[in-house]
Amino acid sequence: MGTKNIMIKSTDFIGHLGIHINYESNIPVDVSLDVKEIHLDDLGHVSNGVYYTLLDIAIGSSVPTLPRDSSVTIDLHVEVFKRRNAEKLICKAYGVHKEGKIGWGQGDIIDEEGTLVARGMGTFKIMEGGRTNG
Amino acid sequence: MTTIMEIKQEYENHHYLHHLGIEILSLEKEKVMIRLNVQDYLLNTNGTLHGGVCASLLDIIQSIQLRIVTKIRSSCINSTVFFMAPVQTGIVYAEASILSKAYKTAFVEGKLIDEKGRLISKGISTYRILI
Repeated sequence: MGTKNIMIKSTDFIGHLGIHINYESNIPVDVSLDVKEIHLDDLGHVSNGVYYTLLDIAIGSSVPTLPRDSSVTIDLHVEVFKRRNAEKLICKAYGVHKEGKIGWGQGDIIDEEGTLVARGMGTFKIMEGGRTNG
Repeated sequence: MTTIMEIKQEYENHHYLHHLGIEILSLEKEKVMIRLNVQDYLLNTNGTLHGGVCASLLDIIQSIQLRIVTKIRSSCINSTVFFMAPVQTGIVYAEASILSKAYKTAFVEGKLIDEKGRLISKGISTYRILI
Protein backbone atom coordinates (compact mmCIF):
# COMPACT_ATOMS: atom_id res chain seq x y z
CA MET A 1 0.00 0.00 0.00
CA GLY A 2 2.97 2.33 -0.46
CA THR A 3 5.34 4.09 1.90
CA LYS A 4 3.89 6.30 4.58
CA ASN A 5 4.65 7.75 7.95
CA ILE A 6 2.81 5.76 10.59
CA MET A 7 1.19 7.75 13.36
CA ILE A 8 -0.27 5.55 16.07
CA LYS A 9 -2.16 7.63 18.57
CA SER A 10 -1.37 6.50 22.07
CA THR A 11 -4.49 6.04 24.18
CA ASP A 12 -5.24 5.46 27.83
CA PHE A 13 -5.92 1.80 27.07
CA ILE A 14 -2.57 1.34 25.33
CA GLY A 15 -0.97 2.80 28.46
CA HIS A 16 -3.17 0.70 30.75
CA LEU A 17 -1.85 -2.49 29.15
CA GLY A 18 1.74 -1.22 28.88
CA ILE A 19 1.91 -1.55 25.09
CA HIS A 20 4.96 0.06 23.54
CA ILE A 21 4.70 1.73 20.15
CA ASN A 22 7.83 1.72 18.02
CA TYR A 23 7.62 5.13 16.37
CA GLU A 24 10.82 4.41 14.42
CA SER A 25 8.97 1.77 12.46
CA ASN A 26 7.22 2.65 9.23
CA ILE A 27 6.06 -0.46 7.39
CA PRO A 28 5.25 -2.79 9.00
CA VAL A 29 3.70 -1.06 12.00
CA ASP A 30 5.49 -2.35 15.08
CA VAL A 31 4.03 -2.53 18.60
CA SER A 32 5.33 -4.61 21.48
CA LEU A 33 4.48 -5.67 24.99
CA ASP A 34 6.61 -6.77 27.92
CA VAL A 35 4.37 -9.43 29.42
CA LYS A 36 3.47 -8.88 33.07
CA GLU A 37 1.16 -10.65 35.51
CA ILE A 38 -1.74 -8.36 34.56
CA HIS A 39 -1.78 -9.90 31.05
CA LEU A 40 -2.15 -13.47 32.27
CA ASP A 41 -5.10 -15.76 32.84
CA ASP A 42 -5.48 -18.10 35.82
CA LEU A 43 -3.13 -20.66 34.24
CA GLY A 44 -0.38 -18.10 33.74
CA HIS A 45 -0.87 -17.92 29.97
CA VAL A 46 -1.18 -14.64 28.10
CA SER A 47 -4.91 -13.99 27.76
CA ASN A 48 -6.21 -14.11 24.19
CA GLY A 49 -7.63 -10.64 24.68
CA VAL A 50 -4.07 -9.31 24.82
CA TYR A 51 -3.37 -10.79 21.38
CA TYR A 52 -6.58 -9.30 19.98
CA THR A 53 -5.71 -5.89 21.39
CA LEU A 54 -2.18 -5.91 19.96
CA LEU A 55 -3.49 -6.91 16.53
CA ASP A 56 -6.35 -4.40 16.62
CA ILE A 57 -3.96 -1.56 17.40
CA ALA A 58 -1.25 -2.55 14.93
CA ILE A 59 -3.48 -3.52 11.99
CA GLY A 60 -5.78 -0.55 12.57
CA SER A 61 -2.78 1.76 12.40
CA SER A 62 -1.41 0.13 9.27
CA VAL A 63 -4.53 0.58 7.15
CA PRO A 64 -4.81 4.39 6.71
CA THR A 65 -2.52 5.68 3.99
CA LEU A 66 -2.22 9.24 5.29
CA PRO A 67 -0.75 10.08 8.73
CA ARG A 68 -3.66 12.39 9.58
CA ASP A 69 -6.20 9.65 8.92
CA SER A 70 -7.13 6.92 11.36
CA SER A 71 -9.41 3.91 11.46
CA VAL A 72 -12.33 2.27 13.22
CA THR A 73 -12.48 -1.51 13.45
CA ILE A 74 -15.30 -3.20 11.54
CA ASP A 75 -14.20 -6.77 12.13
CA LEU A 76 -11.16 -8.67 13.31
CA HIS A 77 -10.28 -12.32 12.74
CA VAL A 78 -7.50 -13.92 14.77
CA GLU A 79 -5.88 -17.35 14.61
CA VAL A 80 -4.12 -18.32 17.83
CA PHE A 81 -1.33 -20.83 17.20
CA LYS A 82 0.49 -21.09 20.45
CA ARG A 83 -0.33 -20.22 24.04
CA ARG A 84 2.70 -20.06 26.24
CA ASN A 85 4.50 -18.01 28.81
CA ALA A 86 5.99 -15.36 26.59
CA GLU A 87 8.18 -12.66 28.11
CA LYS A 88 7.74 -10.28 25.22
CA LEU A 89 5.27 -10.07 22.36
CA ILE A 90 5.97 -8.19 19.15
CA CYS A 91 3.17 -7.43 16.71
CA LYS A 92 3.93 -6.33 13.17
CA ALA A 93 1.16 -5.35 10.77
CA TYR A 94 0.68 -3.89 7.34
CA GLY A 95 -2.15 -2.73 5.12
CA VAL A 96 -3.23 -5.19 2.44
CA HIS A 97 -5.78 -3.29 0.36
CA LYS A 98 -7.87 -0.15 0.33
CA GLU A 99 -11.15 0.45 -1.46
CA GLY A 100 -12.73 3.83 -0.87
CA LYS A 101 -13.04 4.32 2.88
CA ILE A 102 -12.61 0.64 3.69
CA GLY A 103 -9.18 -0.86 4.29
CA TRP A 104 -7.89 -4.33 5.04
CA GLY A 105 -4.78 -5.22 6.96
CA GLN A 106 -3.06 -8.16 8.55
CA GLY A 107 -0.54 -8.74 11.29
CA ASP A 108 1.52 -11.34 13.09
CA ILE A 109 2.48 -11.66 16.73
CA ILE A 110 5.77 -13.32 17.58
CA ASP A 111 7.32 -13.97 20.97
CA GLU A 112 10.85 -13.13 22.15
CA GLU A 113 12.19 -16.27 20.43
CA GLY A 114 10.58 -15.38 17.09
CA THR A 115 7.89 -18.06 17.38
CA LEU A 116 4.66 -17.17 15.61
CA VAL A 117 2.00 -16.93 18.30
CA ALA A 118 -1.01 -15.44 16.50
CA ARG A 119 -2.04 -14.00 13.15
CA GLY A 120 -4.88 -11.58 12.51
CA MET A 121 -6.69 -9.93 9.66
CA GLY A 122 -9.09 -7.05 10.01
CA THR A 123 -11.42 -4.74 8.12
CA PHE A 124 -11.35 -1.09 9.07
CA LYS A 125 -13.28 2.05 8.17
CA ILE A 126 -10.86 4.84 7.37
CA MET A 127 -11.64 8.12 9.08
CA GLU A 128 -10.20 11.11 7.26
CA GLY A 129 -8.56 13.36 9.82
CA GLY A 130 -9.97 11.05 12.49
CA ARG A 131 -8.57 10.22 15.84
CA THR A 132 -9.05 6.56 16.60
CA ASN A 133 -6.87 3.50 16.29
CA GLY A 134 -8.87 0.64 17.72
CA MET B 1 -15.72 -33.35 38.31
CA THR B 2 -14.95 -29.66 38.64
CA THR B 3 -17.68 -27.75 40.44
CA ILE B 4 -19.00 -24.30 39.58
CA MET B 5 -17.47 -23.01 42.82
CA GLU B 6 -14.05 -24.27 41.72
CA ILE B 7 -14.48 -22.65 38.32
CA LYS B 8 -15.47 -19.39 40.01
CA GLN B 9 -12.30 -19.65 42.09
CA GLU B 10 -10.24 -20.08 38.91
CA TYR B 11 -11.61 -16.88 37.41
CA GLU B 12 -10.87 -15.02 40.63
CA ASN B 13 -7.22 -15.74 39.79
CA HIS B 14 -7.59 -14.44 36.21
CA HIS B 15 -5.32 -11.38 36.32
CA TYR B 16 -6.30 -9.89 32.95
CA LEU B 17 -10.01 -10.10 33.82
CA HIS B 18 -9.39 -8.06 36.98
CA HIS B 19 -7.06 -5.62 35.22
CA LEU B 20 -9.86 -4.69 32.82
CA GLY B 21 -12.35 -4.39 35.70
CA ILE B 22 -14.64 -7.19 34.53
CA GLU B 23 -17.21 -8.43 37.05
CA ILE B 24 -18.78 -11.88 36.98
CA LEU B 25 -22.55 -11.54 37.50
CA SER B 26 -23.78 -15.09 37.00
CA LEU B 27 -22.02 -18.42 36.69
CA GLU B 28 -24.98 -20.73 36.32
CA LYS B 29 -24.97 -23.34 33.56
CA GLU B 30 -28.14 -21.84 32.07
CA LYS B 31 -26.92 -18.29 32.25
CA VAL B 32 -23.37 -16.98 32.40
CA MET B 33 -23.06 -13.21 32.38
CA ILE B 34 -20.26 -10.74 32.99
CA ARG B 35 -20.23 -6.97 32.89
CA LEU B 36 -17.83 -4.10 32.53
CA ASN B 37 -18.23 -0.56 33.75
CA VAL B 38 -16.78 1.58 30.96
CA GLN B 39 -13.93 3.61 32.46
CA ASP B 40 -11.82 6.33 30.84
CA TYR B 41 -8.74 4.09 30.71
CA LEU B 42 -10.64 1.61 28.48
CA LEU B 43 -11.35 4.16 25.75
CA ASN B 44 -9.65 4.90 22.46
CA THR B 45 -8.72 8.43 21.38
CA ASN B 46 -12.20 8.92 19.96
CA GLY B 47 -13.68 8.43 23.42
CA THR B 48 -15.30 5.06 22.69
CA LEU B 49 -14.62 1.63 24.15
CA HIS B 50 -11.43 0.23 22.61
CA GLY B 51 -11.88 -2.66 20.16
CA GLY B 52 -9.37 -4.68 22.15
CA VAL B 53 -11.58 -4.40 25.23
CA CYS B 54 -14.64 -5.63 23.30
CA ALA B 55 -12.66 -8.56 21.88
CA SER B 56 -11.28 -9.36 25.35
CA LEU B 57 -14.76 -9.35 26.91
CA LEU B 58 -16.03 -11.70 24.20
CA ASP B 59 -13.08 -14.04 24.64
CA ILE B 60 -13.61 -14.22 28.38
CA ILE B 61 -17.40 -14.74 28.29
CA GLN B 62 -17.10 -17.41 25.59
CA SER B 63 -14.43 -19.33 27.48
CA ILE B 64 -16.38 -19.11 30.77
CA GLN B 65 -19.57 -20.36 29.08
CA LEU B 66 -17.77 -23.35 27.58
CA ARG B 67 -15.95 -24.08 30.85
CA ILE B 68 -19.20 -24.02 32.84
CA VAL B 69 -21.00 -26.38 30.45
CA THR B 70 -18.18 -28.87 29.80
CA LYS B 71 -16.38 -28.55 33.17
CA ILE B 72 -13.24 -29.11 31.09
CA ARG B 73 -10.59 -26.59 30.13
CA SER B 74 -10.42 -25.46 26.52
CA SER B 75 -8.21 -23.32 24.35
CA CYS B 76 -9.39 -20.80 21.76
CA ILE B 77 -7.85 -21.46 18.37
CA ASN B 78 -9.54 -18.76 16.35
CA SER B 79 -11.97 -15.95 16.80
CA THR B 80 -13.86 -13.43 14.69
CA VAL B 81 -15.24 -10.26 16.22
CA PHE B 82 -17.73 -7.89 14.59
CA PHE B 83 -17.94 -4.35 15.92
CA MET B 84 -21.46 -2.99 15.51
CA ALA B 85 -21.78 0.15 17.61
CA PRO B 86 -19.54 2.40 19.70
CA VAL B 87 -20.11 2.83 23.41
CA GLN B 88 -18.80 5.77 25.43
CA THR B 89 -20.10 5.30 28.97
CA GLY B 90 -22.20 3.06 31.17
CA ILE B 91 -22.14 -0.68 31.58
CA VAL B 92 -21.55 -3.31 28.93
CA TYR B 93 -22.95 -6.80 29.50
CA ALA B 94 -21.57 -9.94 27.87
CA GLU B 95 -23.21 -13.30 27.38
CA ALA B 96 -22.47 -16.35 25.25
CA SER B 97 -23.95 -19.55 23.92
CA ILE B 98 -22.51 -22.77 22.58
CA LEU B 99 -23.40 -23.30 18.92
CA SER B 100 -21.94 -26.79 18.63
CA LYS B 101 -19.85 -29.11 20.75
CA ALA B 102 -18.14 -32.25 19.55
CA TYR B 103 -15.62 -34.45 21.39
CA LYS B 104 -12.66 -32.09 21.07
CA THR B 105 -14.02 -29.02 19.29
CA ALA B 106 -16.64 -26.44 20.16
CA PHE B 107 -18.03 -23.34 18.48
CA VAL B 108 -19.12 -20.58 20.81
CA GLU B 109 -20.69 -17.20 20.08
CA GLY B 110 -20.84 -14.20 22.34
CA LYS B 111 -22.38 -10.78 22.29
CA LEU B 112 -21.97 -7.48 24.05
CA ILE B 113 -24.97 -5.31 24.81
CA ASP B 114 -25.26 -1.96 26.54
CA GLU B 115 -27.72 -0.92 29.24
CA LYS B 116 -30.40 -0.18 26.63
CA GLY B 117 -30.03 -3.62 25.06
CA ARG B 118 -28.23 -2.25 22.00
CA LEU B 119 -25.89 -4.74 20.32
CA ILE B 120 -22.32 -3.44 20.64
CA SER B 121 -20.27 -6.33 19.36
CA LYS B 122 -20.60 -9.97 18.41
CA GLY B 123 -18.02 -12.73 18.24
CA ILE B 124 -17.72 -16.34 17.23
CA SER B 125 -14.82 -18.57 18.22
CA THR B 126 -13.54 -22.09 17.77
CA TYR B 127 -12.25 -23.89 20.85
CA ARG B 128 -10.17 -27.00 21.25
CA ILE B 129 -11.44 -28.92 24.26
CA LEU B 130 -8.46 -30.10 26.28
CA ILE B 131 -9.47 -33.67 27.08
